[in-house]
Amino acid sequence: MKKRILSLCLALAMILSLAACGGGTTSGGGETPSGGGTATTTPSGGGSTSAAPAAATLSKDAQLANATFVNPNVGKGMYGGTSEAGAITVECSTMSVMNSIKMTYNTELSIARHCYDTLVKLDAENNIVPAAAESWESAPNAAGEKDMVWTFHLRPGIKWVDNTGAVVGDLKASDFVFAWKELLNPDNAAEYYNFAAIFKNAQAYYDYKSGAEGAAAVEWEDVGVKALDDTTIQIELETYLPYMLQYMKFEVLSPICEEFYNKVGADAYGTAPDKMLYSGAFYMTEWVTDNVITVKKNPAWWDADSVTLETIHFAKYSDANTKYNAFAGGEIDIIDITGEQRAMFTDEGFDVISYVGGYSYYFQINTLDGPNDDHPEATPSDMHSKSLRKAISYALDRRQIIDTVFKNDNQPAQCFTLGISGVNGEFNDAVVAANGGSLYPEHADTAKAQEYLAQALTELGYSDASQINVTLMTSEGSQNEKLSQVVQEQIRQALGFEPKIEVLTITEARARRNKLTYDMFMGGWGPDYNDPMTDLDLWMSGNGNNHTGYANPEYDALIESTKTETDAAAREKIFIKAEQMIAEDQFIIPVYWRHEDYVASEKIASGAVRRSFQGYFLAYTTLK
Amino acid sequence: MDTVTISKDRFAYVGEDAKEREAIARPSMTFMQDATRRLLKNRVALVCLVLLAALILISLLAPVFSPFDYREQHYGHENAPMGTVCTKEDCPGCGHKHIFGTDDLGRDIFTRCWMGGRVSLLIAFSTALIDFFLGVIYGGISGYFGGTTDIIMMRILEIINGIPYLMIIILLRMIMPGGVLSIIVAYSLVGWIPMARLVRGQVVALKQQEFISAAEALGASPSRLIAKHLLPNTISVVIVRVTLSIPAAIFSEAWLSYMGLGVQLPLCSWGSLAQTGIENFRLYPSQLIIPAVCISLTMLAFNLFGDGLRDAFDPKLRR
Amino acid sequence: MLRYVLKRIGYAVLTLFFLVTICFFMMRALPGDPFIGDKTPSATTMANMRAKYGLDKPPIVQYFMYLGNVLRGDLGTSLTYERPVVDIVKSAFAVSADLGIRALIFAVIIGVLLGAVAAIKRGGAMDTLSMVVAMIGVSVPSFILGALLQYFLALKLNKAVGHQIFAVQGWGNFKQTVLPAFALGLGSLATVSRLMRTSMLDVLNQDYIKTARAKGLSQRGILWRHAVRNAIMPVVTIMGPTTAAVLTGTFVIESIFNIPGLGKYFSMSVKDLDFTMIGGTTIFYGALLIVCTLIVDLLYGFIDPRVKLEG
Repeated sequence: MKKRILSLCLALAMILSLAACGGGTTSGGGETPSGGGTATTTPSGGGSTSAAPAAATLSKDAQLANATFVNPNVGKGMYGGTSEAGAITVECSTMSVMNSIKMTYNTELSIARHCYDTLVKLDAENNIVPAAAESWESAPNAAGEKDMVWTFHLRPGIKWVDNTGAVVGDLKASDFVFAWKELLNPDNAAEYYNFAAIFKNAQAYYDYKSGAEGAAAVEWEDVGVKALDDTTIQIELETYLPYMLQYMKFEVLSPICEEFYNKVGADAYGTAPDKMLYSGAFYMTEWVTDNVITVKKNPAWWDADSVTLETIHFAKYSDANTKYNAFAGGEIDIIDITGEQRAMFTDEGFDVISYVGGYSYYFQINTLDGPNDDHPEATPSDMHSKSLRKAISYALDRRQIIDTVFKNDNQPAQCFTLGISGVNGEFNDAVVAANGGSLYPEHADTAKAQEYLAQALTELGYSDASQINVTLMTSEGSQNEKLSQVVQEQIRQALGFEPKIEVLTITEARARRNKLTYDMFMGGWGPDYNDPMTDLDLWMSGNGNNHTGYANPEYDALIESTKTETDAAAREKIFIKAEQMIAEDQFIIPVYWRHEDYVASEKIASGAVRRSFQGYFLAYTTLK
Repeated sequence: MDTVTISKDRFAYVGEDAKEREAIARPSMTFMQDATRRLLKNRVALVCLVLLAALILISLLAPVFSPFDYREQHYGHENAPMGTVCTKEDCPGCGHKHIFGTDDLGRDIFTRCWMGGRVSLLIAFSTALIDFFLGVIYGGISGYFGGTTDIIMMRILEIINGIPYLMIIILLRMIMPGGVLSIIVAYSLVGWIPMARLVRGQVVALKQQEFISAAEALGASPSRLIAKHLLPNTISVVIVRVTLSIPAAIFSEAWLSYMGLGVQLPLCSWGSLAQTGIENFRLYPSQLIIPAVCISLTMLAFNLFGDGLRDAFDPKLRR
Repeated sequence: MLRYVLKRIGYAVLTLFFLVTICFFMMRALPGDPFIGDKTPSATTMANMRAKYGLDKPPIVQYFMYLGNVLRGDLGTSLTYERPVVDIVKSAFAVSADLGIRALIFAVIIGVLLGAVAAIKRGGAMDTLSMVVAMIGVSVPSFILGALLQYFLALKLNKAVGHQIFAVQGWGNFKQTVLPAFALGLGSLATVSRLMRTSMLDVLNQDYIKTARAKGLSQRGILWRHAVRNAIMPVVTIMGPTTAAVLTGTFVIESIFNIPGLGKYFSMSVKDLDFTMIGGTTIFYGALLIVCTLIVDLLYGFIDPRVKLEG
């Protein structure tokens, strides 16, 4: 269910680690490697062969990609993959929209990553490296604030190609600026326009053009982006942004050929392969709505010499069994897998590959006992009793949930934040260490749960647990339903009342979540950038994604205070305090930390990079 | 060759016996009596009737007498094979056998299977009844009156048929408490339409026949014509359609479970059990086979019993 | 006859109008908001999105605008796919119809033959076979049948013989059409064969069959000229809506065999609250259904001369 958040979050890798290199010199690969997600393979014996191609002909990015991912399964003779020469087929869960400015899903952005080059991109180790821009520098603005004006120099000779691979023109700096203008055009109603809102006056421009009340007149000329000439782009920022380059890699900021866009028209652009132009490693040749998108190698791409792969098919599957059968039948090369399938692969001795995307899952809770000014439609919930929330947290057996529902490496949540670097090591480890252990029990603690239940009954004025009325709202999908049933039964066993399960369509569930007309609903969150702030500011009272009704001035003040705290260790202590406050007030009940599992067929030798913050990048894939 | 001559006076006229002439050689039977008699003579149909009764009885009783609760999850005992003995000491069913094994959450499939049977059989019977009455009456009226009445009535069917089913379900759920009742209502809203079409088609063909003209000439009212002459002659097609609509209803519920709009969890139905079964069937085939066999048995019983009913009630087959 | 057809076309337009109207207001009553994702867009963005699709206007204005667009053949832009609904429906229907026609031909021909033969040889081997096929057809739902076919006939069989006989999934070549067409058609086949059998049994007891036999007509002539022609009526009746349903695809078969057909849009558009797509698919299906039933009603007159088309 978390696809949209994934898209937003994953991409902004490691952001604060890059703050270090905000010093604005020229390009290069010297940035700090990421801390968030590391790819690991589950060993199951069997030798793996490294298939590094002739290194001399490959670019640095390609060499790194081939070194980062080496398929451990090559040569096992079990799952040979697809038969089409020079081509691979990979799973892609959502591919509704291909107009880069209108994209919202992580997997859509993954396809865009193959078809367009943004100014910069992430390499296989999540470092920022040059893409469409060859080099860049930053300078202070007129007021003397450092790193506020950025100049990007485009690589010379970037071409636009059409859906047959024919070169139709040169990419100009103005094509980037044009794309960003369209991203900020309210007529397009781009959901992720906020990636362009970092430019000076961009948000004001957007508000003005949207006809927002009281918005001052701001024209495009006032927005801080300009094409100085055909290969130079200048960007002035609205506010200082230490992770500016991390923003510039977002695929919604991909270039659009202005001339072509105007020719096909805003409505038709991006609705078919022949209604788009491409400037990336691949160009799109076929698009069957919601089924398959085919891209082919673009010989005009700047690093085309390092690309040996000819074709990628991005295929959508809506049935997990079909996906598995297709993999076993040699009709697809990379699939995400379920816990049951993982067990089958592991039993056979076929290595499953997994990585941590930084995703934390939790029950969000309606903590209101009736509507208030911020949530006029909210319904009262028995969960406004803090003790009841705690009782439920202690009633949960997080290990059992993982063992029965997911059957993989998912971990019981020990705190809310995951995948963020702390001062020393991982932030979540620091939280656990400071707390003297996990904030949430791994196994059910019935005695404690009962203790809190007794308090809850007093708080609610009930004489018996059976009077408690709690509904577990869940969206459809067999895994969601399974999880709800396990939780329902755990609560019934430990607390003696049975919460009702209400299965809704995802659209209805989200609407009710936003209106706070629910009791408990599973949610997930991943990091936007590599700082605890990305997760912890979520629970501030004004945050648009805080659907718990939790509004605690103390918590708000705590988070605000980190913005002025300059000492890193002291700042981390404040965040740890915030984590403890979450556990104390229990307006969310963290449940598990997610691990992503997938398998790759033996056709793929190396270079098929999949990791946190960037989904797929397959351009440098080498085949057996 | 000799001719035997029999004289007339060897016979005597005894006069008319009015009583004797009025006497009926075989007992008079109403349509219903005759049908019942024929049904009872059909062994296959009787066996099926018993089978259906048995399924209902087990569904009602098994969950009550089972040592396991249908909701109870045995952590660490997931996907146990058939006949595994429960060794969980804090559970009331400890020492008893999981006759059909356990599912992926460690719940006793035997108990769940019969809980699911309650739901599925309830849906099966109620939708069959609604299908029968609503569809037959609507189709009969539409077909008999013909003309504009028929055209308008049939267009209404098209409109109902054209509205996305899922939309009806979601809207229904907003105004009704979830669960079995809303599924039955939802299916009833659209399930009778094929029946109405079929009956109407039959009636349109039948009403041109002589026996209808005869009945009309004798002054039969439209309602009598429809009820006594037209509908009985459509009975065979109606029964087949009812028997076919029963699995349709059971699977409509399974489909709704697939879309997340089925029975209230943790309750289950044969459809939803089969649904989870198909996800796991490669590793644990019994989880699919058990509900599938239950459904198939029910279907078989309904179909063969339906055949028997047809033979019994079809006036054309009356001898 | 012509008058009857014209009258029916008039009614068809009226039916569609009611369908669009009812559907329009029903879908606006669906709970949820199509623009709230996992993350909640800002209020300004939400307003922009509504404005883009004209959802900011009062419902009644939206309704008349929609009617106007539909009359001009414009079904709008899908909220989910941001592409014209007409384009999506057109390309998806091409796939569904291709698969559907295969399934229907299979279902009708085998179904009618099986049903007729079962009735003629009542109690014989064919009768039993028809019962077995019908039982499988109705009591194994498509989601189980499809998954089993895929596993045993595509995956296992291919492994056993060492090369591909049936493809596991996908759409494009003949290997990929056999299993889904079979899975899609079997349910209809079962219905057709049961109806055919029972109706055939009725007909064979009719006096005109006995008359024909008494007049010395050949058995084959009796069966095909008199019996089947009269017995096929119930089958024709259900074929109207069945054709419409099968041609537009089913969600389950499409998702199991990963076929880019129209079926999934009927369910997904409702779940995603893709209003334009709900409207588009409903109008399309409604029109197809109306055409199919009209054809069936006309066929009544041709097949059974006793039926008079009343206008």
